[in-house]
Amino acid sequence: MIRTALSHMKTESLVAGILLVVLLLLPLGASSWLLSDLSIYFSYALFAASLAFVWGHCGLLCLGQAVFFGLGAYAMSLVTLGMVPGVEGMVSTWLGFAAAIAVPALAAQLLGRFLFHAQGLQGAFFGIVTLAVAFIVERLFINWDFVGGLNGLMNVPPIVLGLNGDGYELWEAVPLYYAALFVLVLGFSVLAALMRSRWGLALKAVASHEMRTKSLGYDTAHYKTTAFSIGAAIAGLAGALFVVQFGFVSPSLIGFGLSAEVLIWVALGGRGMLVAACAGAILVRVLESNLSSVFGDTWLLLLGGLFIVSVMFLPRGLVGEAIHGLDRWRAKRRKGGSTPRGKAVERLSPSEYTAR
Amino acid sequence: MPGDLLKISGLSRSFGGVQAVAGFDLRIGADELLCIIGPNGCGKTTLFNLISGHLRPSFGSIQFKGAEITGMAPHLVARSGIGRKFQVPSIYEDLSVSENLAVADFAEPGRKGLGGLFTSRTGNDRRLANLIGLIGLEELAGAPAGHLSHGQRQWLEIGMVLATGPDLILLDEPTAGMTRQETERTAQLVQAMNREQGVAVILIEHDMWFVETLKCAVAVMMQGQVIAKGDYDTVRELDMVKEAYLG
Repeated sequence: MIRTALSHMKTESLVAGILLVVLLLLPLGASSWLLSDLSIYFSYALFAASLAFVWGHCGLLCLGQAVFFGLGAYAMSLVTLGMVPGVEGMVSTWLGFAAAIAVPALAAQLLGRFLFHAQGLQGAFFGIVTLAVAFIVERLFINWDFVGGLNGLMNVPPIVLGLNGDGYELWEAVPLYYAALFVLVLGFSVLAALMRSRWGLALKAVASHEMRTKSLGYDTAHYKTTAFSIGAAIAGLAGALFVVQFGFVSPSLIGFGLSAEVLIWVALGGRGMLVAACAGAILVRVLESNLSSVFGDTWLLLLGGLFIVSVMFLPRGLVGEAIHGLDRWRAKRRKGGSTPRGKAVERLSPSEYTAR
Repeated sequence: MPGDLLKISGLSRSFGGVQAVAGFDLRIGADELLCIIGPNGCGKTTLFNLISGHLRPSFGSIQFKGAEITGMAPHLVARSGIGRKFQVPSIYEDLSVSENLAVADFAEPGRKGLGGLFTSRTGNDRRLANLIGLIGLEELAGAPAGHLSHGQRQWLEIGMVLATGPDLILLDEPTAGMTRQETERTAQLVQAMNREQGVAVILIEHDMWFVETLKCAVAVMMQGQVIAKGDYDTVRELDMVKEAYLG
């Protein structure tokens, strides 16, 4: 029974499930070094998922996604360092997480109102404006002394489980690893559920043919703004998850540099699937920490080359292409065995359809 | 006159110095089927763009169900109950046939954005199953829409427009590029939605055979105006129509 259940699961969900089991079991055998590296990478993975949602699912090529990651990191830091004017006494991690989600979401809402409602910006124009925004915000934070200017904010506290900065501190590798994994799975699940809902389908429709969708009665500008804000909220959550582990936030987290990096992770992993984007982020970071010492300065060249190759030849991304290949293989195998035909309106992925 | 579903008066739109639509008047009843014919460039598609909100008129007014809809945004016009099928089949190629219809079906609850997810779905599946039968694509429900033939794409788009539950449908050359058989099938579909579902239909057409099959009222448009209106047999006998259009 489990076998039939597994064979009917979507390949993407299956891969995500297997990866999750591996990650859950990893602390049994891995060094605490690797675990603490991975827990930081989980925040990058969640960040990549936010861009995969905005870019891959909603067709909004955001070249400044790090603005929201950075805003989340700064919001968390300001709260837990007791720097928010008027409420200095409130240093709760939970409040920090709430601020790290709300502040970027509001910023994206505001930006979306201008870009989608007022201007109706589309395609590359949207990308260019977000690029400019990333530059401006980075400059702003470099010159803003209250948030530490170029030096940023140091000694950001770790996650503290108590209601107001008291209680158990998540400092050791294993608990921190599981906490970071939990936040990643949580954010991932929210995005995945939204993408699979009818609302998510409508978003895909907006990306695929906006005029048609508008003529069905959809306020497409409103849809894009909401999606952009949700992507920003998740990016902000990822930023908060990063800073509670790293303990330090600086303007380099909020600008174009990191925005370009996340774009590379997502393009390499695969923007069409959340799990591929997450795996792409983790993979690139793991390779980078192991190979950059070997390759030295040529590492960036190598990464750039890989990016170009993937954009030109593997539009699904490296991981996405692998999952897609697996999907086709499973469909072929199922076709060879007994195929219990469902009702006429069953959902088939395009590859399964071709295989029939 | 009450009872008019759509009332267009003095509608004009010019591009530069060219008057594409010039003082256009039209009235459509709640279950009428009207075919607009006319030579290329007579302003037919511009007329549809004006009604559906994709273009703003220079002058004139459009009233739908007694309310002024002139110059309203396309999604608001669609919400008021006017569905439109574009000349070039406009479907979501990377979604499956049933997903295409599901997008259209969600248009109404989706007005509330994310809140639309909390609305009940009772009866929707059956309605969609009926609809997919009406457009004859049951067998292809799971297929990506990009794999459909030209005719099937047109039917799918008509199905999507129907799924939003409109009172009036604008069909822009629904049979362009279709085979005889497909055209016949389309005529049946148009009649079914007009008679059985009680939807008023305005269609732009070039294929006179199709117009003849539909046996509907015909308006002849020339240089942005209606120059004649009547049933097919009356209209085809008019000298100016013969000269300008039927050859």
